[in-house]
Amino acid sequence: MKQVIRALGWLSKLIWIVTILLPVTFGLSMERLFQPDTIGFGEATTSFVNNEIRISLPFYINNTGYYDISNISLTTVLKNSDGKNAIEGFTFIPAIRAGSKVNASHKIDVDLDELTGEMEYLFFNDTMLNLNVSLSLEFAYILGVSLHTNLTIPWGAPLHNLTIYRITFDQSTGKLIIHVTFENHSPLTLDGKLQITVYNNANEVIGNQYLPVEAVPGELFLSEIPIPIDLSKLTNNGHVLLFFGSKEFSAGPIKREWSLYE
Amino acid sequence: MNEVATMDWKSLLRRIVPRILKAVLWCLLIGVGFLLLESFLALFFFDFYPEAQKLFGIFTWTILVFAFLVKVSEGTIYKYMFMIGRSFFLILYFIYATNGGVLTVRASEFFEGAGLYITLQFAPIVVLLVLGSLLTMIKDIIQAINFLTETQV
Repeated sequence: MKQVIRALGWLSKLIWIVTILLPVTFGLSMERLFQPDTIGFGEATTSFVNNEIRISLPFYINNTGYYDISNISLTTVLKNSDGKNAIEGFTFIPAIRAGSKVNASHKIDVDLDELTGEMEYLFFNDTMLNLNVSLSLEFAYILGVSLHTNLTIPWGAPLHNLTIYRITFDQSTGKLIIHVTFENHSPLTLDGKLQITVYNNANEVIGNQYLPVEAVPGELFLSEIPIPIDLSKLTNNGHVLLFFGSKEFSAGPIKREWSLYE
Repeated sequence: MNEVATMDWKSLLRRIVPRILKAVLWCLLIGVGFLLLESFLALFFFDFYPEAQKLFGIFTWTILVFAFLVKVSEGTIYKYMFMIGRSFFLILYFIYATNGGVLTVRASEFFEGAGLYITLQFAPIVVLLVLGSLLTMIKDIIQAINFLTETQV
């Protein structure tokens, strides 16, 4: 019986030693990981693939700890005020061995079909978006760590307040003058074309015009667009439809009634 | 008759008082150890996980009480009962205090303005803690049986 007691005593001591040593070495290993050169980021690049904007953020992780880091996954989800996913990004790294360095990139996909379809208002209205960032990983295949944060970030619409604020008819030239304005609140330079289609009150197209548009971030765009009209179909009133199209996305139409008698 | 009773009391006190003093001294030593550990943990851990301070207090006092009882009951079967009780408490404590090995803390102390939540999953370590306590408990039970056998022979 004494031998059994002794054996159990040693076994439990061994387990206690291992149990105490594991968190201590985890702590020391993590401390090494909090050194400055452990994680670094490169310059973000943007590409267009299958009607999706892919923002790629390269980064590296230098595992200076004593243990392998495995199942690293980083997820970023940008949600609109209704809680609908607007932008999603996901990165998974299976493992980083102790003492080794891994280069990877976090890819964020922006589905333009979805953005121009269900969330078209994001092109025209500034709003607040919720950014959910989740990072999870495993130390030594034992200790799981997950970080989750929820941030509110402002969204600047590229065509903020796109408005046809005035429509006049120039009888001398037979052109309809459309006054258009918007403000580029996005951080990107807007480079595309505005298409204006004029309809009479019988819903027939009586004029169509394209206007090249370039607006740097923060720029207030103001323009008068003269549109030649098919005078044979001209009526006293009608409506215009306004579209915006660029390589990256298209938005519209914005509808506005017009009348020769203001 | 009174003289016999006084003699019994005296001999009982003579036996018990040194034991109590020894136990108190032992508890003081352990207490100092826990105090040092607490002040070390207060440097970084309690800010990060404030609930741990309360849990640490419960752990410290329970261990001290058990240490006192074990020391006082040295040489009796009660010593083993208290040791088994202590191991049983540790098993329940480790499971409860660690929430079964999944802890979520809000780390806004470090990242102001951001609602950062950190979840730690360390179930294998909790399994080891429980296993260690369980083995200690089994050992205590066998020791208790051994004690009974030896004292009855």
